[in-house]
Amino acid sequence: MQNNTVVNMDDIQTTSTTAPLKNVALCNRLLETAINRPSHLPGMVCFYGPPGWGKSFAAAYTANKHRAYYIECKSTWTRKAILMAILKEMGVKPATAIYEMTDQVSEQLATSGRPLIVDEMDHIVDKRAVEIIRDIYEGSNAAILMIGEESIETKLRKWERFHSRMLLWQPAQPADINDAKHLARLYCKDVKIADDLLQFIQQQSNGVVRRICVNLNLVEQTAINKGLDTINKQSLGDAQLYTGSAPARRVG
Amino acid sequence: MSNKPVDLTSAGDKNDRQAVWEVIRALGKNGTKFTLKDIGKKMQWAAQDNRLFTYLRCLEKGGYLEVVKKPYQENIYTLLIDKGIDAPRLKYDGTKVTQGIGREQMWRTMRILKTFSAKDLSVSASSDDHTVKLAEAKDYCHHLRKAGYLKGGPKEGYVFLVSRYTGPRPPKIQRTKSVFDPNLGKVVWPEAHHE
Repeated sequence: MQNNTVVNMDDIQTTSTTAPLKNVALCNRLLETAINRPSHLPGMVCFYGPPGWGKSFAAAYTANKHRAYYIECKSTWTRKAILMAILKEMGVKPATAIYEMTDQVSEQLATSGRPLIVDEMDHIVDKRAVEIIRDIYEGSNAAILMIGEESIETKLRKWERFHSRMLLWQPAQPADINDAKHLARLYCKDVKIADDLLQFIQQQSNGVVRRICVNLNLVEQTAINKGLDTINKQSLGDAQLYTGSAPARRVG
Repeated sequence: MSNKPVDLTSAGDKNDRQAVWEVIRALGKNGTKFTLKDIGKKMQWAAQDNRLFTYLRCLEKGGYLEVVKKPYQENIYTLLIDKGIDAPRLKYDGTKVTQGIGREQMWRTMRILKTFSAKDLSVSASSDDHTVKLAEAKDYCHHLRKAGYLKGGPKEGYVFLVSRYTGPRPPKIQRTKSVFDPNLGKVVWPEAHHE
């Protein structure tokens, strides 16, 4: 399973989108599977992984590509709050009762054919709020992509009726050297970064996409300040990369 | 689940086409046939209104409406495709309007990323069909910051203020460089001084 999820990097070198990034491709493929599923299969899918692994990047690309309705759950949200948020995202004037609002959401999803993306799903998983998502799915049969942190699978297992409507589970992957290369292509248009430095950045960033972006920016700035067209690990000198860890204690 | 049909009305201000589309959806539900006059009555517009006629023509060309024309009689319309509450954005020949796609993608991406630089925005808001240029992203961020949707600046990066999210339709930058929010239906920057 793990091996055939890796994207072939060579065909899509010239694109200026985030599509070739591994997690973006995985997430997009996941939603497409749900959209194009045979009608007897369930239509809810879940993309999960630790914070910082580019789930938001993936969500942004996927949402734009399919014009999905996107909501991000908050831990305080009740069932009504979820429905209000979705209706606001749809631009529909909310009805007063919860059951009417559920119908409104379902009707709009079903007629427009647009998918729904529920980010930070783990915030509402503990509550009865999760049943609302199921109701919406039952009412619309629309593709629904849920995004959450690693624990979401075990948390959702508690809700058996919900769990049985899931089509696929897809774990996110840490950013690898190919991802770092593509990010460098997108972010550093003026400066060429040597492979050894890219490798170093990827290791130091621990596979976290946002840190790679910050570090690429930092390296590009350093290169520009030093007047270099190409920068490698040696010419970076002793500039500190951003690793996300707090500075070490200094004594004396 | 109730069998009572649900009523979908768009929130906030409606433009002409949105208003017409909602009337058409209501009239044409379950394949009911209707005429220009029916729409005109509901809208309190004259049935000869050009805005009405033009949009119906776009919908017909785009395959959303079927028209039966008979000499000396009113055209009879049937709604073929109902794509939900959003009025289809069509040109006169029935093809989709592509203007504003970049803005829509940026507006959506801002909300998803929450903290971003103009570069992040141009990269993440690009899709295969529509690339968002860096200059476009910079310009849009600049104006939205002035209008108070974003915090921060070009150097330190921007933060999207989630509480300022007004709805799905992206704010427009007008030719006079003022910012118009179609969800509220008003110019949000510069604020009007007259009451």
